[in-house]
Amino acid sequence: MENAKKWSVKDVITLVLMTVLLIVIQLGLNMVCMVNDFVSMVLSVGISMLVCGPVYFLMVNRIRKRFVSLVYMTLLGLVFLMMGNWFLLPWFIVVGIPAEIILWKGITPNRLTVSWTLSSLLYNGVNLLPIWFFWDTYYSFAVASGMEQSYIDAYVQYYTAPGWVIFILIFTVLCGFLGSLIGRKLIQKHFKKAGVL
Amino acid sequence: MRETALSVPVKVWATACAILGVSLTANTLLTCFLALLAFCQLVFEKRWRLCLTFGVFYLALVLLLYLIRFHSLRMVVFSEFYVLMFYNLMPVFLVAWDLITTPPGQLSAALSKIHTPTPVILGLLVVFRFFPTMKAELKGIRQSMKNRRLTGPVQVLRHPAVTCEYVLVPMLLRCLQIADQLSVSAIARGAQSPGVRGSYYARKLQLADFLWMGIWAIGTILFFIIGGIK
Amino acid sequence: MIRFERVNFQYADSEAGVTDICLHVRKGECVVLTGPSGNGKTTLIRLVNGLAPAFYTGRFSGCIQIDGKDRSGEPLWKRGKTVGSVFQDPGSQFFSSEMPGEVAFSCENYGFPHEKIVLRTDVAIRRFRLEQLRDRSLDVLSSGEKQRTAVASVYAMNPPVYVCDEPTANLDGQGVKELREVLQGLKREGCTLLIAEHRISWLMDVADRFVYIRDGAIQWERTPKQMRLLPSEVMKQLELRAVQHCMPSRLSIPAVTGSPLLSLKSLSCKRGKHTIWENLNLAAWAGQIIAITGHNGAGKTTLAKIVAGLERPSKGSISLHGRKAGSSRRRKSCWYSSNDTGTQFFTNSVTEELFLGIFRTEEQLERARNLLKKLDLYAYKDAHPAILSCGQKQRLSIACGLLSDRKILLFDEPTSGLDGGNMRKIASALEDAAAEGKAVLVITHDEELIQACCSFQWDLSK
Repeated sequence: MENAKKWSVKDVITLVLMTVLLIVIQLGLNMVCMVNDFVSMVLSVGISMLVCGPVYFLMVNRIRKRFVSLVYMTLLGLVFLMMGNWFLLPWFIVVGIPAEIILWKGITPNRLTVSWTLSSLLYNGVNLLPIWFFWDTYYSFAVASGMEQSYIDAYVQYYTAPGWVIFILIFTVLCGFLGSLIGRKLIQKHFKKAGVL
Repeated sequence: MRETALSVPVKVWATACAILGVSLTANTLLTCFLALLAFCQLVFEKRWRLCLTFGVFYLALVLLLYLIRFHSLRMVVFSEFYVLMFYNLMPVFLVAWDLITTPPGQLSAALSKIHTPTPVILGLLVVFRFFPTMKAELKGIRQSMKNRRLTGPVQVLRHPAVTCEYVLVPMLLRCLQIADQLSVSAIARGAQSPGVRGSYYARKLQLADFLWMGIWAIGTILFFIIGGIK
Repeated sequence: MIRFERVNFQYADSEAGVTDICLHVRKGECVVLTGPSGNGKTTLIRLVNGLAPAFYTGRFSGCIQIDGKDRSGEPLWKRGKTVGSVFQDPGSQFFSSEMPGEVAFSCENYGFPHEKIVLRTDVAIRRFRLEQLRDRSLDVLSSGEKQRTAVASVYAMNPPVYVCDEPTANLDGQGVKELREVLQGLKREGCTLLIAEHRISWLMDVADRFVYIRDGAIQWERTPKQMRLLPSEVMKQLELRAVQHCMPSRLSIPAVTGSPLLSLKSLSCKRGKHTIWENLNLAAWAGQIIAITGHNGAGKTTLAKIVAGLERPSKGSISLHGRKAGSSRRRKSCWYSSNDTGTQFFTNSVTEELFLGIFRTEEQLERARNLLKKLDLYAYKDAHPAILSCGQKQRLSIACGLLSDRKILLFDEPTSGLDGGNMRKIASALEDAAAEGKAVLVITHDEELIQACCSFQWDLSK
């Protein structure tokens, strides 16, 4: 690839459009999932990683420059910053770095799969961190409003019971992996054939 | 042009104050003070519709919170935790929303004033074009799926993955096409020109801007004094 | 002003390109590059505004002088000060949702001082009579207004040369008229214009010369006067659109005895408080091709979508075969193909697309094969629909409609932006559909298409 390092106007615009698309999908799914505790705490991350996998694959394959993943993660963090969860900005920058390291030596489908699967695992921060951050506040509020200990525990069990935590982690990793596979398939089936890659 | 709008640096400042306030406070329920301040800012800017929609939403949250706290209401959907979190983050939502709904021209003017590179500003402008364009595209895709009889409940439930593909693939292809068209248009109009970007809008800081900067600074400090810091 | 000397260009990623181009456009002249789509008009435009070879890479040889200088060594962004570009689809080129921001875009990029940007932007907005639209969102403007905004944004830079690449492809009749006035004004101000276009009737009063390009080479040059003398058979061979502006047709409303395939009874449509049309009583019989005409905003597309069951009317009823039909039954018997072909195809090959939602039998396969051959798409049967050209996409959509066995086919502006050859192919495809016993409804501004194949007309302006 010539010009492997220099970003063109086209790359910037493609990156921004695709990133906004990814963020809109992720936030949208997140909001819809909030309706139910179980879905939002256990399944939501997995679902959005599944849907976003193909988009991420297309984005990276189309631009084929370094720092795509990092910029995407940083922008995602910025959006959360604007929504008050400022601690997610440094978190997502941290998530972007390993993805970048994996792709540093060149973009291959296998490396992309690894990077997206890993990102899926780390993406759980989007649910976990706010809970950790707000937990004291919530707990004192819950106790003050007379909720029983068992009620509070039932709510937070997904993130405290080891079984649930492991299930969540495995589930998101699987979904991320599946998302990558779908991404690879769609690239072969559609995007290569449509001449956009 | 709304003459009453505050300048971009003030809005950024307000957002920063609000984030600082809600993250460091020891008394969560008191964040309504910051929310009040944010609502005052919207009123000052005469953004009535924004005020109304967010106001209704905020009142609903307050009501729910009140019921949970004093009448042992338990939520079936949308857990209590989220009610509290949204209530808590509301001041940030308000000022951040006010910031990002600033006309893009003014945002880009503020950015070029601090010598942001042109590609970054272009990126920002593209974000604002994304929403109207994609809205139209999605509508088009939905209608042609309807025309192809791909939206029936039987079809969707029997082949959910295929349905997703039918939505995602045309949208992604169109997205790439739009990116290409936009970049051609940008390049033909001198987007690669080096140096600092100029701007059509130039807004000097006015008295009201300084006033609001002061209000937010004092408000946040007061808030910490009353509510305490973690 | 622009001088091509033995210019060759070949794209890096395809066979296409231009060979041995020698062309001289004098200062203040308006030259129209014409010829069928995909034969090199756009490439020449790109060579002038510098997008080729800088953005669209390829092999370039020869020399292009602009304003007396060979500019191949210059960085691309400098070219934008001399050559202003107007593109096909103004709506998807905008960087701002508001008029001043968009018009000022180039000046901002070049880093002009604030006062100069404001002055130039305001002059440009006034020059193209856009002040009253100033505070409106660009997305709600008509196509002509959008294109005028795009020209204004170039005008703010005040370049001596304007290049336009099929500027009317997405414009309706009114928009074309507006654009003609704009270009005439620019010419009067002494600007040099180079326009790639296959709709030529609107340019007869603006152009000084027509240059015909085919197979990547210049074939001949003619003045408007000489163009007018060309007989229509020759125009057909050249795959060009008519030279003369066709007279708006006045076809009758269909009146055939027997039960109609489709009939609308006192149909009305309101969106918000605004009545788009009301009390329509119309009917269509099998084998007819009906043109739906009317000015902008007359509700043609809305009518078609309502008939196709994609939207709901506010009053009245629609019957198929004399029986009242709700929207889901209408969706079963009506095919609607929108003007925007970008969002219509879902699968990864032309054949798959034809059989989407249709059971594959040997007989259907045979039908599909014949259909593709007739519509000149057979060579692309395994290609991804996204790589097809506009005309081919429209034909594919017609093919899908025909194969779907629905009785009523509705098309929204199937020929906008197509050259003469493609327009005629669409016309004959529609005739084939009618011959198979379908009722075909075409929304169109294209008088040539109406003359070529339509037998009746619903005029919504009245």
